Amino acid sequence: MSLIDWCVLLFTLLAIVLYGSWKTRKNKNLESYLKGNNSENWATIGLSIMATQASAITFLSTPGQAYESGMGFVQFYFGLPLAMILISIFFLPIYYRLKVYTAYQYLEQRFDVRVRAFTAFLFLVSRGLAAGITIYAPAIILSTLLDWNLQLTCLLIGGLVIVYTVSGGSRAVSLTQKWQMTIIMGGMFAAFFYVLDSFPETIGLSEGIDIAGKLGKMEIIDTTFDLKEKYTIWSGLIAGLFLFLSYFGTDQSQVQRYLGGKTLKASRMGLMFNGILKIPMQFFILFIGAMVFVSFQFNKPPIIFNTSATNIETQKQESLVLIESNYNLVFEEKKEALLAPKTDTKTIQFLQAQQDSLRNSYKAEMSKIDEGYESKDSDYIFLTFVLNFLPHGLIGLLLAVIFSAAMSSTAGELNALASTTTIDFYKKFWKDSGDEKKDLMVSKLLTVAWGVLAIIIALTAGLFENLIQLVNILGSIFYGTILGVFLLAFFFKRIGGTAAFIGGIFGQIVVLSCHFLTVYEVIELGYLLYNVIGSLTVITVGIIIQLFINQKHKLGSNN
Amino acid sequence: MEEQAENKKSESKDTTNWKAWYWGLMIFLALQIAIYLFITNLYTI
Repeated sequence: MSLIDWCVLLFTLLAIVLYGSWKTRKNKNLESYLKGNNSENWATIGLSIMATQASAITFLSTPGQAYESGMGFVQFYFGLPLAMILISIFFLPIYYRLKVYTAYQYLEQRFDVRVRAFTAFLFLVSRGLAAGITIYAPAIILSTLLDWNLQLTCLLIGGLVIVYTVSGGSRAVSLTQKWQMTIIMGGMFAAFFYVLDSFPETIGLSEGIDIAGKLGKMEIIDTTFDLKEKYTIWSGLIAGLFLFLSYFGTDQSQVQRYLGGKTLKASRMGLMFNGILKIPMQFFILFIGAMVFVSFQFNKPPIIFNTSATNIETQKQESLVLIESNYNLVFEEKKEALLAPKTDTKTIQFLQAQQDSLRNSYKAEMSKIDEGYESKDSDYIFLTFVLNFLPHGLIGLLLAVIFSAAMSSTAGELNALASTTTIDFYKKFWKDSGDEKKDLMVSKLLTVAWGVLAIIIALTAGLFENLIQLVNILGSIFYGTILGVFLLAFFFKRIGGTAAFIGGIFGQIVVLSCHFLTVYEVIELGYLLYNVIGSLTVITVGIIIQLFINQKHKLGSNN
Repeated sequence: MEEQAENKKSESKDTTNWKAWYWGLMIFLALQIAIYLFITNLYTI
C-alpha cells in the first residue's frame, strides 16, 4: 500500500466518523438517541437497511463465491422482496401505531412479559456474538494479505464504530450508513471497470460473459428440489422468505433502522427501496466475481490465494513446485485457446477442469504439510485482484469500502443491542427512573459495553476454529423461533402468552436438535430450512397448547 | 389515545397506491428470475 492509499483510506474513514458525530451532537434524550426523533427520509432508511445487512464479508466473500462456483448464490435473496411486502403490510403499521422502541415491546402488549424477555434474549445472544465476527472476519483477511496486525485492525474497526455510535446513537448510525453505502457502491463500480480494463484488447464485456458462461460461472438458477442443496430457486423463495421475514421484521438491528422514519410512508418506501435494489446489487457483486474469473484467464492467478496465511515455504517443497509448474503450463495453454479465433468449447472446459484439479491437489498437499492450513481461499480472491490490478488511490478506496461495510453493519448491531438491553431489560426489570438524562447515559454506556464485548470476541475469535461458520448459521438457529412467535402474535389472535411462550421454547429445542443431528450427520438439512422448521414448530405447538388450555378452562367452568 | 388518532390520521392522509407498489415489486422479481433463467439456459453445460 502506498502513501496515497493510506491517505484515501484514513481520510474516508475519519470523514465519515466525524460527520456522523458532528451532525448528531445535539442528542439530548432517549427518543432521539434510540429512534433519531423519527426524522429520516425514505432514501436514508433504504440505504441504512442495506448497509446494516451488507457486512464487509459480503464484499470480500461474494465475488470469491462467484469465482469458485458461479452465480447461484443470488437465489438466496429471492424471498427478500416478498418479505419486504409482508413487513410493509403487517408488521410496520403495528410498530408505528404502538410507538415501540424495540420489536419485542410489542410482544408484551400482545402476549406477556415472558414472551418479550424470551425473544429479546434470543436476539441478544445471536446478535451479540455476530457483532464480534462482523469485526473479526474482514480483519483476519486484511491483516493476512496486507501484513497488518490483526489485533490493531480489530481495535481500529471496533473503536471507530464505538465513537460515533455512542455519541450520535441511531441517527448517527443511519447518517453514516448512507455515506458508507455511497462509498461502497462507488468503489465497487470503480473496481468493476478496472476488472474489464484488465482483459486483453480483443476481449470485451460480451466476450467476457461468454467465457464465464462456457466455464460454468453463469449458471444462476437451480430448479431442482433438493433439501440438501443450499441455494436453489425453491430454498431462496420459501426458506429465504422465512429468513428475511424474521431478519427484517423482528431483528432489532433492522427494525430500529426503519422505526426512525419520518412517517409510516417513509419507512414503507425505505423497505420498497431495499426490495427493489437488493437482488440487483447482489447480482452485480457476484458478476464482478465472475468477471474477475475471466480476468484470471488471461492474467496468471496465484495457484492459491491465501499463501500469506501459511508459514510453509512453498518454493522449497518439491511436490508443490511440480504441481505449480504444471498449473502454469495448463494456464498458458488455456489462455492461447481462449484467444484463438476458433476453439472448441469442450477443449477450454477440459483445460479448466485440469487447472481446477491441479489447484485442489496443491491445496491437499499444503494440508498434508501443514495440518492447520485453511484450504478455503475464496475470501481472498477479490482482495488479491484489488491489490494487484487496481491503481494506487483506488486500492485505498476499496479498502475503505471494506472498512465501511464492517463499520456500518457493526454500528447497526451495537445500536440495536444497546436499545434492546436498555428498553427490554434495564428499564423493564431493573430501573425505570423516568429521568431522561440518566436513561440516555445508561444507553450510551451499554453501547460502549456491547462494543467492547464485540472487540473482545473479535480478538479471541481466532481461538475457535469454527466460530465464523457457527455464527453464520447462528442467525438461522434463532430466527425461526423468533419469527414463529411474531407470526403467532400477528395472525393467530386467539393464542395467548402461555401458548406462545411454550411454543417458542419447543421451537428452539426442535431447531437445536435439527442442527446437532445435521452436525453429527444423522440427517442432511440446509441451514436455511431451520427458519421454516422453527417457525412452523412454534406455530403448531402454540396452537395445540392453546387448544389444551381452552379445553381445560371449559372443563373448569363446566365443573 | 390522541397519539393513536394522530397516527391513524397521517395514515389516512397517505394517498400512495401501495397495492401497485407491491404488485410492481413482485412483477420485478418475476422478471429478474425470468432473465436469470434465460441466462442459465443459454450457458448450461
